[in-house]
Amino acid sequence: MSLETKSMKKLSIFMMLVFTILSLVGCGSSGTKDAISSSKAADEGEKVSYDKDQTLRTILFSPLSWDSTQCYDTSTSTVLSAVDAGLYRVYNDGKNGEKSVPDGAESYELSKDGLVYTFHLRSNNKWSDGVAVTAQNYADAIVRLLTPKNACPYAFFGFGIKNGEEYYNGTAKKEDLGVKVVNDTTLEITLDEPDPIFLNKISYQCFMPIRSDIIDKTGDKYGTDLSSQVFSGPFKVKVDEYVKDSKLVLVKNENYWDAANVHLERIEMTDIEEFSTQAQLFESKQLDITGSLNDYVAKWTKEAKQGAFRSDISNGTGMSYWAFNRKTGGTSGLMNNAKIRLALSLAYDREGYCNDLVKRYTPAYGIVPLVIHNGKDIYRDKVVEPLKAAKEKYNTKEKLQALFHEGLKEEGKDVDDLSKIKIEFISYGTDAASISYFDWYKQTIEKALGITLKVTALGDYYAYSDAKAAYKYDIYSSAWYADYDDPLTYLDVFQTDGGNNSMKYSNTEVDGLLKRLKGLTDQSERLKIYTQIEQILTVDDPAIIPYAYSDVRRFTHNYVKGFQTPSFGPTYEFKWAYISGK
Amino acid sequence: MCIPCKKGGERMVKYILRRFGEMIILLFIIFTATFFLLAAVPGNAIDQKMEKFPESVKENIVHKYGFDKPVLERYAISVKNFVIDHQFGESIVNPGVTLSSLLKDKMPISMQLSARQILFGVPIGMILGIIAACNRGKRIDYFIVISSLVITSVPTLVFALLLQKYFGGRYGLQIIGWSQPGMGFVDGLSYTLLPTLSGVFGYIVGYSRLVRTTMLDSINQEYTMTARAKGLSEARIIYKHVIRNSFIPVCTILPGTIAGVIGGSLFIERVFSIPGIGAYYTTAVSQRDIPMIMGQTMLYTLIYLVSILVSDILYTIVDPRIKFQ
Repeated sequence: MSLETKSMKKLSIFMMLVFTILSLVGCGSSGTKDAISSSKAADEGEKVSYDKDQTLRTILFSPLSWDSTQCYDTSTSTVLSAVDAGLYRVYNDGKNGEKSVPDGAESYELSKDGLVYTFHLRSNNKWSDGVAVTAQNYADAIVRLLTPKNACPYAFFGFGIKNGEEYYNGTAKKEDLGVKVVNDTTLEITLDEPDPIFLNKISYQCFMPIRSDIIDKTGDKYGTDLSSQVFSGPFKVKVDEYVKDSKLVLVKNENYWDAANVHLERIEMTDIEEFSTQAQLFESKQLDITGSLNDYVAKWTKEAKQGAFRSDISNGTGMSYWAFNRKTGGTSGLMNNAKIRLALSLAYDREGYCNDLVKRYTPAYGIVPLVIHNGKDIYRDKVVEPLKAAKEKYNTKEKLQALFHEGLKEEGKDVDDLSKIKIEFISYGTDAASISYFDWYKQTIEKALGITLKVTALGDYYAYSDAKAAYKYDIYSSAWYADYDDPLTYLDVFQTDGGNNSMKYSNTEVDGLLKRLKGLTDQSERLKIYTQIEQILTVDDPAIIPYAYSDVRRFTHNYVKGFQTPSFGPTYEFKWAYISGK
Repeated sequence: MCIPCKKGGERMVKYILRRFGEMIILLFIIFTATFFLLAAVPGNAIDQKMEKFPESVKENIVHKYGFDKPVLERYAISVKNFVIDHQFGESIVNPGVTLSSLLKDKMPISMQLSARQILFGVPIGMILGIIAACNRGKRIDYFIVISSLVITSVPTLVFALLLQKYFGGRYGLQIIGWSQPGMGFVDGLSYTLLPTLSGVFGYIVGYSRLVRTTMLDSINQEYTMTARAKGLSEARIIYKHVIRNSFIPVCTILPGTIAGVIGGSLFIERVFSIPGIGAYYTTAVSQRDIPMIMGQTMLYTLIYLVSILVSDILYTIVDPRIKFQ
């Protein structure tokens, strides 16, 4: 059948052309690889030179609320730390560990009993609208944080302040709070008991100064109305360039007390969810800092070695673990036996997990990760991981199985064939990576102990949470991140009936030791107690199977200098960053 | 085209009114079903956020969002908000975001993106379908059919990534972003061209295959043979008889396609970092952000129901034999 006419022919030729072009657009390729500048950083020496264009481009950190007292997540914390000046600021140059340096405060005095902090504020710090930052602004923040009707997530950070928890629970009045404005530049905070990590806590964004005149004016819209916000930090938000969840631009705040030492003029944050897009922008220098995804790690690490950019790996505060169901003793009924729990813990192939399976992180033979301080020292430098000695002692499959059998005998449930013992494990995740992890767990644990591990993978976090609360399992997987820089943030989880003790662990010795820590300021005494608690929690009466300490990986262009990544609170710290030699 | 006579017009108005009545009932049923399904699903938007908090803080936050109230009371509150204030409330996960703020800030951009793809893709697809059908069994037909098959099997995401990798950052084209008000045509195009192209193939392929199939069906009908026997020119046969009769399936699909504009293009928006509505719905579901799920579910339901009504009305225009009942 011929249906062609002249006009149709013309049309079809035109359409063919369009179609071909479109096909080419889709499938054609110029075949050139993206060139990456391999030039080394312009200044590798010590001399500091600042580029004319001081613009830093990063991915978006989208604040959930502009109300700093509502801050609880890293995105909000990152932005607020750039635009607000707390009393103290976390400083971490990657060399000497983390410390708190004066920001809104110039200095502080601590009373002899360790209870009263007197902060001396700077007289030259102003809000972005020119109004002076006063002690009242900091005091207002503490009151707002602890006012129950505001339901601030991190209210508990203020519970250590005198009558803080009582005020939150409605049993004390505002006037009784241990917060006193002596004058515009002097703020006095009284604690219930000495707290060696108070400065660390007070650096968190929920304690940033606030302006009650603006809160009164904006009412319920305070947290979401950006246009009325004022800023006290090194940077301020460029409101007219803000697109929610898409773009945020920060510019230098000339009113900040230390503006002379802030070099970045502009920070452009753009939402780039797709990692391959991030990668392309990073390679073409339209993005100055990026995280890393497995696909790019090998390639970029190689290029970083050749000097194209910097690859930074630092230890994180995360600790991944498996926890035992102590509420019911588990579906197997064996989880109340310490020997069985220790055998399971030692059967976990930590080296295999880090080196072969995920190819990152550090094997964990203790609970407290590598970055945590005890006073001025890194805790892990002083305390050997308790599971290492246990691993030496039970270093063969036979010894491990013997330990497991001992436990079974104690429970009156010994069997000849260990494969008849079924331990139930729950976790969540349905993606290919998660499934391969679950297979690996099953294989390695079964091989190491000869028991049967039944893995149940729930669809998502919520289903998992629900299943967790039903206590129909032996072991669940989880991770813990620090709230502040002290071993206590990992160890007080295991207090009997503690709010986060969802495995329902209970050990009177641990409870007693935790009680002794209250108000104890002698760091060497604290270290001794922490060491004992960690030993009990991992070896003597294991609460969990710790298996990996997290890390933080980042690729940065050579021209980005002075840029910091704190372990606590904000993900990025911009104050000291600058561009040199782009 | 048949302009409905007076009686027909009355009938049409009645029909549409009845359909709207049914729609309201249906919307209410879906509202209720969605609410109770969400209430039955484990977890809520604040669980994950509060995992580590002390009990007193948890209780306080649960109370703030009203999750401590019984299900029926929460339902009554939602119904009241929806019926009286036409509100679904503020996002729990993302304070300050509401359905209206999404409609105002994000949806126009998604709509621009999809509209460009449809305006470009649907006509090209239809023309290609017509060409293929008119040339059945010839090389050009095979070419169109085979290319369609190949292109159909490539996901949009892959097109987007390839276009971005090989064209983004070159030839004056941007890697990410979207045109902003006040930008000139060429500047705007430097942002919009690649995302538009990424999504256009789906429409071209879909519509060319649809039109080709339905046209081949019409070509083999007796009325076409009659027309040919009458001695009409081929162009007239195609234009007057074949194309028009093969448009009924297109009428079924097209309103749906246009309704889909609202939803935006998830993957394309993600790859090119376009500030559209893209992932808001799926994120809301995965985060159990009830006000946002309810709001968006109701919106998409409404759009879907309206698009079905529009296709039904279009039928009667394309084919007067179909009557309102």
